[in-house]
Parts: sequence; structure tokens; C-alpha cells
Amino acid sequence: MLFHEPQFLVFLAGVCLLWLLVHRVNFLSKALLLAASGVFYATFGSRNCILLLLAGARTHRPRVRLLVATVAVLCNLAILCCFKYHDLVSKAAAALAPWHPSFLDWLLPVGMSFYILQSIAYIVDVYRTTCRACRNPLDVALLICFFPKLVLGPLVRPAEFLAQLASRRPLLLAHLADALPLFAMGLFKKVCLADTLATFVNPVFARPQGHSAADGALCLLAYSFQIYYDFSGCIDMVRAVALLLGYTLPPNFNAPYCATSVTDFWRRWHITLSLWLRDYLFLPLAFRLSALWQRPCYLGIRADSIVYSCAALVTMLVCGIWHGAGLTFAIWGAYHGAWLVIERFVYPRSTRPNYRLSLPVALLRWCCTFLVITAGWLVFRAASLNDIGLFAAMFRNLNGPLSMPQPCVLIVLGSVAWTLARLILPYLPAIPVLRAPILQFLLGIARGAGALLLLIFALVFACNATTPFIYFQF
Amino acid sequence: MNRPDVSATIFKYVTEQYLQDCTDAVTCDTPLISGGYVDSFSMVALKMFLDKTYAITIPNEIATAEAFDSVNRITDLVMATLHEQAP
Repeated sequence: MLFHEPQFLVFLAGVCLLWLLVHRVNFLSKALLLAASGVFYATFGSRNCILLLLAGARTHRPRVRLLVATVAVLCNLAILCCFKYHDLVSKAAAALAPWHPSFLDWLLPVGMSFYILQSIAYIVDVYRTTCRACRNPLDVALLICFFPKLVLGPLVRPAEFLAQLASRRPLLLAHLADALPLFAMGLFKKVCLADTLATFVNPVFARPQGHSAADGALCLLAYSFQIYYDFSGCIDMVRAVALLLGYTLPPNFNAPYCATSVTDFWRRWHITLSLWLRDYLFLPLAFRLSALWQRPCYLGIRADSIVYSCAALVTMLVCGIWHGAGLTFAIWGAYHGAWLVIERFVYPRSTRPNYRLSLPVALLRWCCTFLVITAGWLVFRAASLNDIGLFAAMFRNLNGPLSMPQPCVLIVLGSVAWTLARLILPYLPAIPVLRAPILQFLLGIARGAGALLLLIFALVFACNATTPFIYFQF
Repeated sequence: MNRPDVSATIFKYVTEQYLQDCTDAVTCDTPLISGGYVDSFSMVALKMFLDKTYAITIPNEIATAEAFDSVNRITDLVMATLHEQAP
């Protein structure tokens, strides 16, 4: 049962109705949400719940000392590795011992990558004392299992989410007014844009032979937007559902294809994972390395640059492997890590978040970044290195026809135009009349009407929706 | 070592290293990381500078992005570490 499926809408309506009945009592509303989370998760297979319960049990610790924190984090990581990389583990176990750990084949819990990271965040934050140890098991369980964010994120900062759980969530019309357009937009992105692009992208990746170079180029572009619409659409729906129930979840995307460097891209793409990696992997690793390398320079290179480069490479490699056990994911992660390092040396100052580039430079840098990111998606999407070779072979067929269906061409071109418009817009002078209250009011009405239309349109598409989210497999 | 001196040193380092092109009015309370002035690379360099300048080792578990988010918070961090690691 996924967010864009009709069954989920029925389930959500039921949860919202019950929540309306009990929302005045915080304990009851949290108990309801936990029960709803259990039901939601059980729809992916009841056996998954066992591991989820174990994750919650491992995470609930009123006091955390170094040894306990280390053991708890290692347990979480070990379980994630065992189940996520079961192919590798099974092969290794088969090579080492005559018995085969068959339980790994049938227990592949949905959303484990997300809730394990969430558990680790809580344990480490309690150890660091940046989050107060929560004595209420219901709150800890909801931090891990809250059903809107359970299977696909976004990862939340434990202290912020626990603070929301501590008080009764208000029933606000403003929440509904914000949640509906967000849900409509998310559903539209998923079922109308991402799934339409998938009708072209999936067959081309499945059988690249016989397609032209134009098909190859457009397929890569289409996949770039497909994965964005798919994941950001899902996160929009997740945030909208949470908002309906009174909880605010952090955004995961900020116009990632407007990025003018790969460093900038990672500030805009899957933001909550980027922050998790920064806080729990990159910074501890970089600080550890900086303690080892005390000299100011090594071979004429500043020590801080070397520390950053090593930590960034390892972090991005882990980021790649987190997506899957395949070699292609590791290469994709290393590829992004390498670009982060290159950018650090080529333009160290202008990759800072607030640095304002001139428009021509921004356009040039945007073009290069977009090409780098899009090329990276080929490695990410390919099932094997052999598939990358087969796909690349398409680019030799320069004279072949373009077989991309018209709706897909329209979506791709429209998306590129929209991305460019968003990039250029901040450089244009502000028009005061656009800020007039009456215009803002009319824009608000137009936004509401547009959202309603989008919702109806997307619901029609959603009736036949069967395509799972791309990030569901991770 | 008193707090105003530490704060002034950190403020000078941050403005010289990371805010050369910045036209905003930056104070000791300006959010550096969440405000987009300092990125993760700068955090690594900044911690190395603090460790070296004050001959301390700021423990990794307290050197979080939140603790580096303003000059005042960084000063708190340094003062606490100086106090902890005083001979």
C-alpha cells in the first residue's frame, strides 16, 4: 500500500477520521498513529513488523553511554548490512560454511534503510546530548515508525520530532490548506510525470540495443527527471499526510537541478540524507582524520583539503553503497565524491552556499553540473557495468530515429525550461506590483484551484497506478 | 584566556576566511551553517584552526554542526573545552 494507490487514500481517510475523534488527548492520538503505522507496515508483509519492533526495542534507551551507543549503532548497522546486502552475505556464508542462511532470503523488510538510519540518529544524538533521552517508549516508537515517513523518509532530527510528539497537535484549517496542494502536487509528480516518463525510460534501459543516440540522450534526461519527480512527489505526499495529522516533516528537495555545482546539488537533493551523512559520518570521520594529520601541509596540499577530500570520498562511497549492494552504486557514490573533491580544488570559494555567481557563470556552471549529474544517473540506473556499456553503445548510432513518445518529450522539455526559469528568476529585478496584496490573494485562489485540478487529474491517473516508487527498492 | 578574546579571534578568522564576499551584516549570533555562510569543509578547517590555536582537542561528540552554528556557540565550545582540558 503506497501513497499514490487508492487503498492508501481509503486508509488515510480512516486514520484522519479516527484522529479527529481522539486528537484532544495526546496519548490516544499517538497510540492511534502507532497502531496505524503498524497496520500500514503490515500491508507490506506482517513478518516485516518483527524487525521493525526489534529496531524500536534496540533504540529505546533512557541513558546512553559510549559502550552502549557503540553496541547499539553496530547492531543496527549489522542488521542493515545483513538484510540489505543479503546476496553478498549469502554468497560469503556459502563460501565459508556448508550451511546456507536461508532466513535472509525471505526477510527483506521494506524501508529498513530509512528506519535504521533514524534509529542511529537517535542513539548518537542522545549520546552526544543534543537530544534528550526519551523515557516514553511510545514517542521513541513513533520517531522510528511514524507511518508517513516509515518507508521512504524523510529522516528527521530526533530532538525536533520528539518535541512535536511531546505536545498535543493542533487541529488547524491552515494545515489542511497547506497539505492538500502539497499532496496534489506530489501525486501529480508521481503518477502523471514520473510514471509517464517511466513508460519510455524502462524499456530503453531494459533493451538499449537498436535505439539511436538521440533516444539515449533523451532517455538519460528523462530518467533524471523521472527519479526526481518520483522521489520528490513521494516526499511531498509524505509531508502532506504528516501535516494533515499535525506534524511537520523537513523538506527533502530544493530545486536540485538548479544546482550550479555538484556540492550545491547535494545541498538540494535528498537533503535529509545529506545532513545525516554530514552529521553522523562525514564530520566525525573528518575530525578523526584531522587529529591524525597535524602538519599544515602535505606535498604542498593543505591538510584541511586532504582531510576533506578523504572524508568526502568515503562519505559518498557509503552514500552509494547505502542505495544498494551493486558495484554500480559504489561507482556512482565514488563518482560524486570525486566531483566534490575536484570542485574543492578548482573553485573552493564559489561552492559555498551563499556565494552569488553572475548569471553567465551560473548558466555555464549549471550546464556542466547538469551534465555531470545526468551522466551519473546512467551508472545509478544501470543494473551492471555491462548494461552501462550497452547503453553507451547507443551513442554510436547518430542517425537513428527518435522513438520517444510525444508526452515524454513534452515533460522533458517542459522540465528543462522550468529548471532554467527557476535558475534565472532570482537574477531578474523584483517587480513591486507582484507583491500587491490583491495579487497575492488572487494568486492564493489560483493556487488552490490549480491544486484541486491537479488532485482530480492525478487521482484519475492514480486509479491505474501500479508503479512502485524508485526509492522503494533502497 | 578570556571569552572576549576568544570570541574576537574566532570572529576575525571566520570573517577573513569565509565571509570575504559577504555583504550582509554578520554578528557573533549570525547562524553560520544554517545561514549558508559556512559549509562542511569550512567546519573541518575551522575545527583544525581552533585545535591548533588554543592547543586543545575539541571532542568529536560535541563538535556538531549545531555547536558550530555561530561565533558565540563556537566560543562556548572552545571555552568549555579549555576549561575541561586545563592542565
